[in-house]
Amino acid sequence: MGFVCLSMIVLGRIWYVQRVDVFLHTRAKNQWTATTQIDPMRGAIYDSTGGILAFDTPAYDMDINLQGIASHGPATVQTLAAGLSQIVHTTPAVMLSELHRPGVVWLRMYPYLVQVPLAAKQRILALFAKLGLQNDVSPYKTYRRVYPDGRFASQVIGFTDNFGHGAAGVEYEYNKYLSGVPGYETYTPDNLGDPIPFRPIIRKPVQNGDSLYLTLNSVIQHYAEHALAVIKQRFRPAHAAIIVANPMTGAILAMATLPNYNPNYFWRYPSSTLDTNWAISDPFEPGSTFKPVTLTGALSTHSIRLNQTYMSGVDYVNGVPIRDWNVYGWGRLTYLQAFVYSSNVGFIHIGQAEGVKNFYHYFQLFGLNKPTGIDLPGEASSIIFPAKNLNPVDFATMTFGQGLAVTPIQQIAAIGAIANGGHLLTPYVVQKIVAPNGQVLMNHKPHIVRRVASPAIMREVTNAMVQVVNNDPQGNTGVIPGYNIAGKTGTAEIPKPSGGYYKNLYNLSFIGFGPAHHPALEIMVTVNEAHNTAQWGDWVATPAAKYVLQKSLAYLRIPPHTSAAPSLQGVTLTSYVRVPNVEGMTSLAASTALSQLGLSTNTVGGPGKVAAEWPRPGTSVAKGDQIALVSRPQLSGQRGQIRMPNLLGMVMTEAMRICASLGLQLVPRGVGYAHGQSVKPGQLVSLGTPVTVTFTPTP
Amino acid sequence: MQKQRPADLMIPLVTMCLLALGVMMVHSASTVVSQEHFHDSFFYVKRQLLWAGLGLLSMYAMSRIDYRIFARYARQIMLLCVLFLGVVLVPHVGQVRGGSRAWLGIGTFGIQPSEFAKFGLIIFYSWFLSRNPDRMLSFKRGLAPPLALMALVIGLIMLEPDLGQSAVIAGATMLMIFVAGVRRRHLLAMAGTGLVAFAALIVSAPYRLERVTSFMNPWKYRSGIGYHIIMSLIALGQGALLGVGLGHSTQKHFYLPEPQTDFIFAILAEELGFIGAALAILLFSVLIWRGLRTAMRVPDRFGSLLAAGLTGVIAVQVFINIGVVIGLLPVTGITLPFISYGGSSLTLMLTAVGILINISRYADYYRQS
Repeated sequence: MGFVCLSMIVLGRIWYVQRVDVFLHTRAKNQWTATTQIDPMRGAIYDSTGGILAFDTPAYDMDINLQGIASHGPATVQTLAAGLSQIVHTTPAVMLSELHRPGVVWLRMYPYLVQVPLAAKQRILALFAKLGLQNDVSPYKTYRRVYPDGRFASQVIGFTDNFGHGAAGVEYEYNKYLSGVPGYETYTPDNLGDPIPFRPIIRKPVQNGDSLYLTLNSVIQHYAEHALAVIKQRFRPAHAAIIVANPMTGAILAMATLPNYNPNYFWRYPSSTLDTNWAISDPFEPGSTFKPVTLTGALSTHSIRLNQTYMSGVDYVNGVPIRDWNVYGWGRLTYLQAFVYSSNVGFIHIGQAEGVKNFYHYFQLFGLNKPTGIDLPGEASSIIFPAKNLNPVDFATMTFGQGLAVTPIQQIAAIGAIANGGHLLTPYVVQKIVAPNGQVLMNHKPHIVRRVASPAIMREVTNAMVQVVNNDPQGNTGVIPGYNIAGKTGTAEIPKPSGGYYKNLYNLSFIGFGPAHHPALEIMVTVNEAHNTAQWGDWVATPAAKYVLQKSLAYLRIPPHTSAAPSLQGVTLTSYVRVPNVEGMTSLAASTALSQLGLSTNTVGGPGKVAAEWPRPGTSVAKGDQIALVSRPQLSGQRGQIRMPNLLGMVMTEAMRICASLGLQLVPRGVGYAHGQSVKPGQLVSLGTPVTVTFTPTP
Repeated sequence: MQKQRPADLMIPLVTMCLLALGVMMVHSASTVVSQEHFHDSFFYVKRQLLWAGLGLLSMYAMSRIDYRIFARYARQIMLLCVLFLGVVLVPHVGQVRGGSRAWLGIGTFGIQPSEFAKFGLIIFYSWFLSRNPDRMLSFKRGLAPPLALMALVIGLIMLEPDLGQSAVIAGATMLMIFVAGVRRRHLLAMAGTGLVAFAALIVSAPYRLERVTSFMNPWKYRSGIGYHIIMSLIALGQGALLGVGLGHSTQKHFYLPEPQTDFIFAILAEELGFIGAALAILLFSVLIWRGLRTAMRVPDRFGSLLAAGLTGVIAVQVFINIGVVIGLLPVTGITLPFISYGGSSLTLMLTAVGILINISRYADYYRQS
């Protein structure tokens, strides 16, 4: 009887377990389904000439069983940490702390033991085998992103994070195409993880990523990077950017920024560097490079004519005096001259003639009120006062590019519209997307946003910009012999976060295109917070722009042509000479040699051998220009120290050249002739010391 | 002198059915493990067939040998068993398998002295308790000697250690004392002592309670002691009414440890479902029923006690093994008779059935007792 009861209990229990317990069934399902993911190979990134900028190479994630290695005792773990640190180039202490992570069984050690190349994988496996830990390491096949050119075009290309997702640049923007689709194998595993035979395996094949062909031209990009490297070395700016575009299509041929980073080792950089592309991600006050926009609006609305005149120097807006950058102006000027001389007062007149409504209308027509829509992540838009209740003083400063902020890429698009005869184009960096099987998925065609103004107006503005380059009274160095270059420099004050402007920090820029009437290249150079220099755009940004343009025009085999631009009335075309190297000659012999070339000299430090000259040897200068010579006695024996020259009585350009040749930072006050200097002549000062020089109109 | 009659053919018939089912299940459950460890998916089933053949020969021989010969040599058999139990504990002589120094033998062929001791003890009890039925009235003369002997044997086996065999021996001993006609107050006293001892053990070391009760909530101990039961229950749950089909078990793929021995019933239930499990239990029930029927009808006391004891061993082992598999009892490590893989276990079980068959020849069907 008891026996029958027992049997019934047993049978009842079996019935319950087999038929009723739902929990068991779900539990069994979870245990019995395994999925193996097959990582796709990420698409490569090429430049416009087919040169490779980023590609995937096979690599391995080395997962470590921490409990497994811990069971071998602390001595083994220590040996392992020492061995690993040698392979992945870090300290044993770092490795040791990683290997002692609490609460982790299988550790994927970022960033040291992920995506290691084949050779490192073999060394790691050998190390584990030597210590008898071969069961405690498990290589997982994946891919490693390689950027063969390091920092080259880093802000455009971007980088991929530890998980292989694009995190910046086109890597982020086109991640959907580049990443591909992982393949899967779903199967029933045994307890060791291997598939059980004769059970269905569901397979989804892996689909590798598509490749990108950028519009970037590696050669032009290289010129831009080089120019930035020089700027970085000489001026130590807070940040800088160079953009080169094809104004006929909107294609970006080069985009270089400072600071940049090496995407192969992105984790060494602060996120501010990784996330910021100064060419697109921040608007700042453009200064005079904005003037072509104001001019275009005024000309299209027939508000002014270029040969109308006004009185330069100072203008009172609502009682607030606004002065030209040289404080005293140049007397009576035409509006064309106002543009060439970069007269702020002239632009207040132009803006007032145009009116607030038209100004805002053209601001919007030029696409400056919105991001351009370039195919890069993190693009910012402009900042501008609302048109309603606009303060007349604010409007006055806006006409010459202060009190509003735009991004460099917005300016490239706007000035591009002037260059190509009136079409606002959307800038872009990806030319085409190609699938692994060779199918072209996307081929970018130029996108016209709208017509901004008529070709005739644009030609007028272009001519004015050519005049700027050819006839700048400041001795502009943007001229490229044989080509007409249209351009405009800018020196914008940088607003303090607390209000007002910094006294000695400027944003120096150049924007232009060439050849002026058949433009192939458009360039913008912006340098923020440059040091060791007088604060005008043409001393910092223009030489860089000139270098890139000259090199790129030659590279693109655009033949030099005779200038067809109308010359400014009353100004003859100047001939240019190269500054010879006179360093080491006596100052007398140097003066003679320079005067034979039609150049005058200004020597500081008295007789003796020439130690430095400015402009530097090889620079093109107009005949009749003055060359600053510094003789040996002016230099002190100590490194990095120089003797302060006597600048009294010099005109501003002379003083500036002397200071530049010595590596001093001139902070000018007033205009005219030097009347006082903050550092006494003969005093020893270190390089880069700011010297405030006051100028008065009379000598 | 008793008349020899034809044997109870139900007993060999049911045994053969169970044996066939067992060989089939050993093959199905062990292929994966065999392939992994020995690169021969027939490794275990080949050996099981060999042991089954040997066991059947032994069964036939035993069915022909008069069972009363065991009464004559009961003391010698017992002595030999205790001797072997001592020998196996000597290091380098006894082999360690699965954590217990319980094996004598060479290579994969080994015998477990505890298996022999189990049957030796049954024979000895049958002899001892049948000599003078009145001694059961006295605790000192009737109960103390078998209990002392049990304590000795269990003590030796626990040194190996082997909890499962000890449990079976204790169960079989209790069964035999009960069948031999123990006095009610002795029985109550023993039960009381057992409870007090159990309580004392738990108070002295509370973790024991946890270990014993872990089977009630295996999910709490899923990576440790609960693991076997979880895997076993998953296998059962997967089987449902009709099973996943012979050979299609998933749990035998290294999920369930020892799928061919202690947990073979889980694989059986997974592949053959509730129907298969119920069939196996039915076969065991028939065998036990026929065994007890034989015990009740045999005229002499020794034969009756021996038949009851042998059947009792089978019944206790079946109940413990299946109880473990279905999560009713804590994990002990005992084989399922006739089904599980195992040399000495299978051979001895068949030998025991042989003795049972032999006893059944003397059962008097017409003189109901």
